[in-house]
Amino acid sequence: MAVEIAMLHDVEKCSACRGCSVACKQWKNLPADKTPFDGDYQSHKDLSSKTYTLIRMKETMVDDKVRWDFLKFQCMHCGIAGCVLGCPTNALQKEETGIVSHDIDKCIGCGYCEINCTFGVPHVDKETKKSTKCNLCIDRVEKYIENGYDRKYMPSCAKTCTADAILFGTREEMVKIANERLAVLREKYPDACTYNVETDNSIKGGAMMYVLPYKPSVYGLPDEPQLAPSLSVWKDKIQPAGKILMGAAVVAVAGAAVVNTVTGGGKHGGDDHE
Amino acid sequence: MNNEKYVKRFSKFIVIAHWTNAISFIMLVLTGLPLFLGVKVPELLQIVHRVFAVTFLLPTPFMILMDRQGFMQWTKSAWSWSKRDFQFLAVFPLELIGKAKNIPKQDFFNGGQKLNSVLTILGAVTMVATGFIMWFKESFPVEVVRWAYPVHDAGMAVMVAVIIGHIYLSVGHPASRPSFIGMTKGVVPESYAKAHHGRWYDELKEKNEI
Ligand code: HEM
Ligand code: SF4
Ligand code: SF4
Repeated sequence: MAVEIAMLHDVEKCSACRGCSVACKQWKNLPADKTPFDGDYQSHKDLSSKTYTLIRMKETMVDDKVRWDFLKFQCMHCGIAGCVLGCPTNALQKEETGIVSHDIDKCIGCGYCEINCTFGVPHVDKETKKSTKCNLCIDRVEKYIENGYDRKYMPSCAKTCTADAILFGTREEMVKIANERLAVLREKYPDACTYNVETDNSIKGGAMMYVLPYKPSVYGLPDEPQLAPSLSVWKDKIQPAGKILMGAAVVAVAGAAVVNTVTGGGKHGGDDHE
Repeated sequence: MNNEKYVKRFSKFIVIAHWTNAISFIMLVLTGLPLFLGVKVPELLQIVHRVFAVTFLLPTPFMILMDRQGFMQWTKSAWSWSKRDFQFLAVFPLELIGKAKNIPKQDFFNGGQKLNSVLTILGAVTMVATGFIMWFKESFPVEVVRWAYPVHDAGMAVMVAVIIGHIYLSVGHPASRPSFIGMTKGVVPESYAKAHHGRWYDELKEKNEI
């Protein structure tokens, strides 16, 4: 099952119907988040332990006219994921398919994934004390691959999208479509770009990809996504060095104890001191 | 040494503070280490860690309230270093295996104890500061929270290394073992005071306290 899959949000085609958010809630059996009505069109301000995907809506004034930009926001299933590196119990795993999965039994709710995610995606649920995030309907995707890429088993959101804005397939195929769409968009939008398609950054792209008419920051995404710099210091330097230091202390003391026992040394009272 | 005479070293408040701190510290290590090593343990330990974080803090105000003089003597001494302290540290590895000779007379706290105190004070401040950032992470910028973790871990490693030496010297090491009752009954044998803290011993003699 070494085939890599990916999802592609073709932002220009999105009508912001929010069918994907609803489909996600249904498939994942998630209750509606009670959100106060604050005059905003975006129904959810942010992801939560009950909302794994949402449509970000952003208003921009261009020549006295309002322009709306939409983006399906969710876990990016990063190539190298901060959440995976930060998780102390390996509850989060980068699968061969490209999905970043979450093993609820291993999760201890420490929230290290929350703080180390480049995009602020995971949320630890206050009641269950378990981390939550989109897992790209991993159970469905397994069937999708087993059944020869049967569309029936695509992730719930992709299957629902009526505007063909959410595409799903092998990564290879999605990269191809993304680049084709980019070429088309470029004619109209000089800033058009793909997102998470290229793997030349520290997160090495992701399985959730986009074709964007404008710069990523317009959609509230970092223009240059990167892993938290503290992660490599913490995991690759401090923790190994800490283990060596503590081990060395044990060895030094054990050594001294053995020497003192064998030689009867170290036992001086007042006499051999001046 | 049957008629060993004892000299007063610590007040009972310092002794209580020491053991409250010691037990809290050990519990903090035991509840923190699994996360550091990536061992899955019950979620409850994260709460236990926070409980002992609080009991770890309490001895400081307790000492200041109950035995200000003893507290000041310790903290002041920890920061006043002279040549004899460094000389002590230079021969300390030999002292550890009982081979040191000509150690200059030491103060109430010797160079090793001063180093232990300095590392413990700095370590505690670091752990409390980063620990609170991690505890109340919603109130801090995410970058600050992210850096708190490696600092908290580094602090733990240094403090654990120090404590391993500290424990051996107080219960295992033949020469310094007599100091242990200083932290139980608050007194030490006169011969120990003379051998290990010569300058303190001389002071007591001068003041006719022994
Ligand atoms: C000096 C004593 C302490 C030691 C040895 C210690 C040790 C540790 C260790 C090893 C970890 C795991 C870090 C990792 O996952 O790599 C940890 C986590 C943590 N510590 Fe401490 N710690 C101490 C004091 C404190 C204090 C004083 C506080 C709070 C004021 C605190 C709050 C925390 C928090 C919030 C965590 C995050 C894990 C969790 O949510 O339980 N620690 N500590
Ligand atoms: S977006 Fe965040 S939660 Fe998703 S894989 Fe990347 S780091 Fe992990
Ligand atoms: S909350 Fe769960 S998934 Fe997140 S880092 Fe902790 S153990 Fe891993």
